[in-house]
Amino acid sequence: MNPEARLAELKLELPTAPKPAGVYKPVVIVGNLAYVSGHGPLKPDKTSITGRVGADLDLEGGKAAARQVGLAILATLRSELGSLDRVKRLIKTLGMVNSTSDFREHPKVINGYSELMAEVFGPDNGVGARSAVGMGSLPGNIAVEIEAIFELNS
Amino acid sequence: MPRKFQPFAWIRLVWSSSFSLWRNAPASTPKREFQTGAGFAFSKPPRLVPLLGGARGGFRSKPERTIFLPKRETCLPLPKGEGRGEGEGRVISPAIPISTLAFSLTLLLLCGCATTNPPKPTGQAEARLVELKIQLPPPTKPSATLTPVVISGNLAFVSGHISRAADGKLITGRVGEDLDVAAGKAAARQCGLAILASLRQELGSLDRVKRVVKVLGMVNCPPGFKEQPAVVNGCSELFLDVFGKERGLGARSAVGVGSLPSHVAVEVEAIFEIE
Repeated sequence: MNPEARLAELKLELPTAPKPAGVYKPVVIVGNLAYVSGHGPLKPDKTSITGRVGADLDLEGGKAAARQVGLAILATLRSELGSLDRVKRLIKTLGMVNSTSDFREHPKVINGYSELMAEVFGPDNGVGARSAVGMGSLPGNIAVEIEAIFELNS
Repeated sequence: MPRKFQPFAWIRLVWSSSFSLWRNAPASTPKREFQTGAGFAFSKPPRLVPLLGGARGGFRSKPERTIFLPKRETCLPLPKGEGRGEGEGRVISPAIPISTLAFSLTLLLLCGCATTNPPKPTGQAEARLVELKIQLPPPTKPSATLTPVVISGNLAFVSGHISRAADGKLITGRVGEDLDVAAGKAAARQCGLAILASLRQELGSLDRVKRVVKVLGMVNCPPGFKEQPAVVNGCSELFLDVFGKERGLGARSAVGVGSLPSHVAVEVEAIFEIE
């Protein structure tokens, strides 16, 4: 099943593709690779999920934020590409969690994003290389920021 | 793929080099000076250089716009055993402009020794591992949400690998607090070994690696810590030892992060070019 059909089946609501918050582009395409800028947990009501995981948010709250980042990335990709069906696979993700210094469960938080990608693009094409780390602070105190690289159909 | 002799590139180099020689000549009573950032000024914008895409890069400033470029520096890798940190590396300013050197080299080439010296073939990484008596840890297992290595075209994207000692135990703690720089560096080297193990698992042999493209080294450290590059060198030096000087050094970022999974000391992700 193609990604757009999966998205409809899962009844996922994508937020409006976010505008860049600085001097950068949301997506840059080089050859058949799409480099996606860092995205935050943007909700359809245009607010973002904020707070430090481990202090203001628990693991589940962080995971939900990471899933919301995934939805924002899908919105940007669809806006840039016209359709998510042009995406061949997820290649690499850098997941950054705004967390306390003693927080240890970053991979579980970023799983919120990874599970969404696996649902939309499939268990093979939707699972890529990944790094999950904790940041001392993030723009606007958002809970999670994620950047990613996707491969496009040629 | 071996580098080929490119006559047009050399002609272009010779052309831009001759401009460089002209620019190096003392200017007599310059009316308007243009700072090149390379330690000298010249009185007239060299209009032909940007048109031909000279080796120094296009210089397109109009007379009213003066662009200050950072001073050109050359960083030489240090011999083994000495520090290779960004802070420690020998940074020298070239006494002779590089393009002048290129000009002389071209003359030599044109004088009859027009043969190219192809870079060493790939495929020696496995032999180097044996030579260095390096044992790789077991490769990272894929999970439902993560693949250790993804290959797209001729690029291998490697997931973040965390610091794990040879006995399988995680190397944990904050560098600059619980661990010193040397221990952090050893942890970064372990990340590099784990990356090599995953790469070998995916590719069958490390001899298929053409070069290191990019490394992102993330150090678990307190806000005041400044030695992230020296820590990440533990991984970079391993790649240098295994893949050699030409293929083992890539672009790199070394940063400090507020926390890491399971409180490990270092996490490193990397991109490699493969055959």
